[in-house]
Amino acid sequence: MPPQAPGPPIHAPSTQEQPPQLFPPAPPPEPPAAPPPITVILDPAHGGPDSGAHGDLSEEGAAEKDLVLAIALGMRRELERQGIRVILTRQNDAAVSMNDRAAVANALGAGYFVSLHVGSTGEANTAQTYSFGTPHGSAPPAFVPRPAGIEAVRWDDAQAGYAIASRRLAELLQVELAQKLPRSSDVPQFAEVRQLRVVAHPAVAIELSRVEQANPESLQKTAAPLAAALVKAIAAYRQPLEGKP
Amino acid sequence: MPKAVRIAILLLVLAVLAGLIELPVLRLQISRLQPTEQTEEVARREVIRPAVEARDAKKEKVPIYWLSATDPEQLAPVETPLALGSDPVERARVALESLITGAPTPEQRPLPLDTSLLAFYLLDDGTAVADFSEELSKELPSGIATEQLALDAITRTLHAAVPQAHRLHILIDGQEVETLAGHVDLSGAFDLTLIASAAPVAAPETAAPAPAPPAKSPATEEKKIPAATKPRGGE
Repeated sequence: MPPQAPGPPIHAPSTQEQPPQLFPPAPPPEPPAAPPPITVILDPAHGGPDSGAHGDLSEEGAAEKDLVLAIALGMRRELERQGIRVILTRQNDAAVSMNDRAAVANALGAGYFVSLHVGSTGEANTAQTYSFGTPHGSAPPAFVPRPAGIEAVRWDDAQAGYAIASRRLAELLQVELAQKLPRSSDVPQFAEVRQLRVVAHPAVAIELSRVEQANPESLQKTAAPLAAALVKAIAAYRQPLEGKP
Repeated sequence: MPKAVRIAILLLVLAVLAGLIELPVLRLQISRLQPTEQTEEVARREVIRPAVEARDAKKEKVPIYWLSATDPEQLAPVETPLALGSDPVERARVALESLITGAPTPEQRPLPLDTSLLAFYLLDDGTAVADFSEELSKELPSGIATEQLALDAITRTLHAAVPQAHRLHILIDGQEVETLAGHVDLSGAFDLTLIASAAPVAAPETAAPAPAPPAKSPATEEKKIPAATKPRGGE
């Protein structure tokens, strides 16, 4: 677009139409209804040709994409039972791009984004929570904007404004996970998780360990404890907000 | 005994004898067909070129960030004597080759052994470009933890060997890619200058024991340091 030059305007203002009335007059306020349900966006990572982490050398080995989908479906049941609205970024073995997943999430007014993963390492049946950030930066906020001159700050950095919120959610969640899945650390970590970078919500990734274990299907049983931990963490996260007079 | 039976017995005896001779030979062949992991490892080492060290350069000790021998989910720098030379591109090449191939044990490799550094550039403004072969993303076990460790190993090792590099672009087979192996973001540039102020990942594995930690930094700050970067005083 050309810069605005002084002088007569190039485009005369359009005719003096009254702007169409988009909304009818506001009805009288109703008595306060129940608060809108909490929304959780569950993101079973990978899908389609991208199977994620998988058991080595064995065609029979479990694939991350299948495990996380089963866990997400299990978590949805548990969360919905508690009155939480659940949006899944994929409900079957579909290939959904990371930006499309974020677009689904970002279109929602408010929510908590939880990306589910099963990793290749770590002690079996433990969980680690991550928020977006670089482990190099020891001082919060962990989010490090891309240096000027290399890239302009883009929509791709949607998570930037949520770094502290996400870190706090990760801290609360990891404390709960350490209780529900023993031998898990009680401290969340930072990682440059690609999916989280483009999400405009408090967002965390949970990585379960691990895809190569004697019975990876047993990881599906973690759906209930994961959901319970998430419910408690979100409740704790919202505490100061709801505690306001 | 009818002649036919005698011939049959003779043939059977011959067959058994032939089998007795053949069996050890077959066994030997089978054992040759099953190379142990050790010999495969040796073969790989023969194929993979040793870290090309700069000629006529004095060896200097530089930390290489392999995985910790005691905790494979952490990095632990090992002060390694390498002839790095003075050319930053050469220094990066030697240090990163050592990171890939020189780990004390296979379990301590943060990057797949088959990875090779295809090219390394350092621009005047401190922007470095490291182009790795596709094995880096194809053979690295997929996962947030493993990929973040691999990325940290690269950035920290490079920062120690080439302090002039302030930013790092990582390419795979000459291409900019979305993720390392499905999780960790490789788009854009990594700010290496942050490492200088970051907490060390762990005490060095060799060398003298770490000095007693001095007065601790404020507890709040320590709490925020991720588990992977155990704070240690000093530096």
